[in-house]
Amino acid sequence: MTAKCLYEGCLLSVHDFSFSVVIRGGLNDEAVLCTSSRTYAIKFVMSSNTILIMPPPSSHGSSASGEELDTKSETGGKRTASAMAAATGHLELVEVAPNFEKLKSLLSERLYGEDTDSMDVEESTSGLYTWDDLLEKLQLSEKELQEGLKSLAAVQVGGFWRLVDKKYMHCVFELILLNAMQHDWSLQGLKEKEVVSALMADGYSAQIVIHCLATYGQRVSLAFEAGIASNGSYDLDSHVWELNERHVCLHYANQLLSSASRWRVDDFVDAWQQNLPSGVQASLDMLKGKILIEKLGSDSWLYPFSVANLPSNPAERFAALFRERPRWEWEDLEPYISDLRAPGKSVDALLLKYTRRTQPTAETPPIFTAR
Amino acid sequence: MQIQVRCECGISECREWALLELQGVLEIQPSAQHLPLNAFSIGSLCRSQQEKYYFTIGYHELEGKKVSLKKPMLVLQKVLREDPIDVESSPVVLSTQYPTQVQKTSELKAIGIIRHKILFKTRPKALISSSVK
Repeated sequence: MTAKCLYEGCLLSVHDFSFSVVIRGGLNDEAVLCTSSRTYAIKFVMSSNTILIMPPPSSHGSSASGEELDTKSETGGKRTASAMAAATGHLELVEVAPNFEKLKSLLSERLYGEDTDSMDVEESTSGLYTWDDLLEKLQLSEKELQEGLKSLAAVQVGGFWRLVDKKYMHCVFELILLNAMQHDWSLQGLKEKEVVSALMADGYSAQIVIHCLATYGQRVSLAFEAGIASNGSYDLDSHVWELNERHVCLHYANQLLSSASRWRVDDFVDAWQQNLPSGVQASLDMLKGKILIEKLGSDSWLYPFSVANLPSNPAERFAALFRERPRWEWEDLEPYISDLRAPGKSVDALLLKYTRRTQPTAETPPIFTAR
Repeated sequence: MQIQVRCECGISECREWALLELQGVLEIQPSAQHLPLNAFSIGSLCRSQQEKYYFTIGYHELEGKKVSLKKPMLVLQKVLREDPIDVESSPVVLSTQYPTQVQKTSELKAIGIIRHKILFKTRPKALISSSVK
């Protein structure tokens, strides 16, 4: 018998393994197993049966698929198993939805804000995390971490991933829009060089300005008109950005909502459209998932209710929604549940689990209430 | 904290292990309890023509059959590695008492895959014939 015959082998239920697999967790966490794209909770399943496992005999050609195996080493012509172990149970993998709460809280330790931008060099690196640091501390797969960073609009500065202070971002965005109006720049064709130099004059770093452009818009392919400098030469460094109309409208909507939390819908729409740069069209649809509208008598009133402030766990999310309103029409409910993630469960399955659906007549839309 | 799970062979070449599942507990005779587990032979397993498996333990014979696992299982072995730390990148000043700094990491190595099990769930048959070992 070999010396290693009693290693504590533990069995792991396998789904699809790409074999870039890591177990992650802090000392007080429940361990998870991460492939490059997904995360699974690891559960130990005990068995009351006796489970014996044995490797294939190393020097004999055949694999151990039930051919005559004798667990006693003998020279009497029988095949032998080289070693054996007894298992008390096995580990199962259950896919779980990625949890971005810890990522958000780590990155919020040192927000990138007004003070940061004006400093040339940051003194200490405590509370600052690189990509590798984040993988070490979080229970997320690499793809999920990427997704999380993108959804938080995080930016990498000096090797560290940073969350930019919301007020600061709005400030920078406001300045970009103001400059665009002053210089009559097209919001569909903002020249990176011009925008950056205008804002750098006010003390903002190029990196943050570009991050703002990337968060609220996208790069467009190099337009020839934009690229040709005044002397006629072709300017290859000129990146051009197009701002996303919805983000522009949301920016002004947020300004109105922070000045007053309840608005008569008609008044809001008028004030909103008035504040927008020319050529930009606002519509209440853009505010889905951010405001709720209620009818009081003959008037319609709107108030802020943002999905971003609601819990990400499905049970808690539905509880919060039904606390706000006991009855929901599908059109109103949809933007507040479309981002929910529960592995293996579709939106319909979640609705079935957490709501009761009623439809008085075939013509009226269905109503959802708490279960 | 991160623990790497490695498989050196690649999933298609992973060595296949066997798994026997018995309803019951193996007990060691009191007279032999002081001996290490690997000093014992548990029994004798054989497969008949009709894909039936017979496991003979002592004077009991168990009949079982081979079943495919819905989800194959990996056999993992914990490996403790001690890698020398790259002194250049370490911010800690080397103490002269310990000439080589090591970094201890845990890894799980996949050493086998199990796709089938031989399940014995019928009542054991008592063999009273003298031909039993």
